[in-house]
Amino acid sequence: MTLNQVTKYLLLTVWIAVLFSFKGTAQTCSCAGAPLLGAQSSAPVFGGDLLIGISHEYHDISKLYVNGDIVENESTFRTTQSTLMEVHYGLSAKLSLSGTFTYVKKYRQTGLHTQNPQSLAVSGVGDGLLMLKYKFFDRLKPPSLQATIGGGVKVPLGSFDMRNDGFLLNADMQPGTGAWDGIVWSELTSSFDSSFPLNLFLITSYRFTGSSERFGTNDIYQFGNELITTTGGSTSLGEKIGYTAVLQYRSASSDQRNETKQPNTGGFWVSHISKLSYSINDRFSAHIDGRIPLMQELNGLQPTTSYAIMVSFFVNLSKRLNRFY
Amino acid sequence: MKSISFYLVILFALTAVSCSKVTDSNPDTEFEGGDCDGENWLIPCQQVVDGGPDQDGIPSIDDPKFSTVSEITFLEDWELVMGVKVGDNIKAYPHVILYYHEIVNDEVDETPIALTFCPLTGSGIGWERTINGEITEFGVSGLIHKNNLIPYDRNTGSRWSQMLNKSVNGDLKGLDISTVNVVEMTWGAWKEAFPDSEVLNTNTGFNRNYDKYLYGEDYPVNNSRILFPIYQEDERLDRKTLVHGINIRSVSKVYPIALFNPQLQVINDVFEGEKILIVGSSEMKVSVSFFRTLADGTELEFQPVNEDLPVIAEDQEGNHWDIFGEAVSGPRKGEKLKHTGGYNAYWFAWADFFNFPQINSF
Repeated sequence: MTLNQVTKYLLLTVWIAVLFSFKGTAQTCSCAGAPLLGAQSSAPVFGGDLLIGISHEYHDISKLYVNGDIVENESTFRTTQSTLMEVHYGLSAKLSLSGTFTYVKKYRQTGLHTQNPQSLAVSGVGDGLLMLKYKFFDRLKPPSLQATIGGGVKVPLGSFDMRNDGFLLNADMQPGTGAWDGIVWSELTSSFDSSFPLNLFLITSYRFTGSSERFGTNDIYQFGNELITTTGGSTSLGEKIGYTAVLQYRSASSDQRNETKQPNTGGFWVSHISKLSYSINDRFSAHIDGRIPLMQELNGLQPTTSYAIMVSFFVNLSKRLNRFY
Repeated sequence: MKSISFYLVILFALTAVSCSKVTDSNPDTEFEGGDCDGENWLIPCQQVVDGGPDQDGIPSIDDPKFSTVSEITFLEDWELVMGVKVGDNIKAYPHVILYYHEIVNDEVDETPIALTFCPLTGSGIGWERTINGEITEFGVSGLIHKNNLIPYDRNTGSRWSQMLNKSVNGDLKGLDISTVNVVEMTWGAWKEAFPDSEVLNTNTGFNRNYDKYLYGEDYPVNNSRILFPIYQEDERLDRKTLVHGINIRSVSKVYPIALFNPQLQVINDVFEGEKILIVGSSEMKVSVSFFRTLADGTELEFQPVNEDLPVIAEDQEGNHWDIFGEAVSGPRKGEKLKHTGGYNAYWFAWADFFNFPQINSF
């Protein structure tokens, strides 16, 4: 075994140990937040590649669930719109750097059953994401197989102390979380030869959340940890069009205040995502995807996803060009 | 190609750089963050926080429907209900429903009242809904003060402190609300005491899972589970100890309900110069309080009456008094004891709102 292989397996071992040392629990309020991890592009970006993308997601969060049961929501309407800018740069043939920056607008209407509904809109820069990815396995011969691991931090760029009428807004109405989070990430992709144009992928990420002072010194709030596993396949529907079908599992632990679980936070969600991609030319592509919930089991009473639609536009500034849907 | 990426970055930056802001549907309150104006509030508005669901995000029940006791199947005997008696009309409101709605706007014997219940502080208080000659409704403002519900009235939009029984913001700021005597007890005891009463049923107009408590089964007993800051901690009792508290001339005294005898126990107390009757039972999780001095100056001494609900006490004149403080037999039949305005709440809330309350020694 060469030194390179030893390093590779050592890295993998450390990554797996980190991933499984945190039990899967996650961040309820992130259902009302920017889709930082779930929306990461899975395009291959290595060796001097530069990929820039701008996405906008409209997320309707008006469904109301008690545990696994939907209840009629007569009183509230709620959305989160997120604009994301992703920059992926290949540092070497195996190492790449990604940065994601967000702008978030949250909106809620309440009292719809009364004659005087109230609305509130909050907007601002959201949290950011910085990740380093390492491709440790790359077999080009069909069926090809690539394995990449990564890690990074969620940077609390977003405001976490916004107020309405002077009153501190609830955590899930803030654009940011106020906390640094650690992230581990992995991706496994495989594709067949040109006679069978199918790409398969499995992406898993885990965010172990930090904490922030919410109501003042020594009053610590921590969103729940979050596990997202996404699997699916993409195929060509002609020269320029691609289709991707995705199954996403997301679980979030309950938020904690001063190490005590907060009620009505946390749970798990299973969603389906369908995505259409269009290659405008070798450098530009446009994407639209829709996400619908298939099932969820939430802790207590929570608003959750009705649906989400995301429109993306990517530009590939690489010297060599890959189709990247 | 560099120019394209440059424009993309600029495009995003222009979107993002517009500074964070909050707007609400009231146009004159559009602003960018900022502190609350302390002059508009009677309470320190720095202690007021957004509870999460916003105004009416927790929907009050404005068209309550009732069933007979025998028709109610969703309650276990240990669960708590709040009850009122106006005239001959007696109604019960189960906690498990109030957890999801916090306020019921009702009419009892043609008297408009609001049952207010804060799940976080465990405080249940009845309010009259006629204010300055106008009937109003109360809704949940979505704001929290010291973990406690802040209702608003729908006529003026004024905000009220539930535990202070006072408007703390808006046109009616400073106005005290008239309270209605509310009795809180287990469903098992209520059934026995008032088998012919009406009970708020789950046909609330809202689709909720009333089998489960909104903040979890352990919220009432888990001393660590506090959602918002406590500003004045008092460790003489556990935080979630349910107490019956009374305020007389800004001095407070509490009676931990778990420390009463399992059977009804009477305390002929004197507090701040006032003669007070306290009756409680740890088994029935009930405690009520009345002034012992009648309008004619008579001072009554009470003894407990057990196994005869709703009668709870007998005085030296031979009158029997029910749990709502009404003489149901004896020479004073039909007379009523004056309610102290006391109510039940968790100790942490009582200690946070009122300065160093006395704790009754049993």
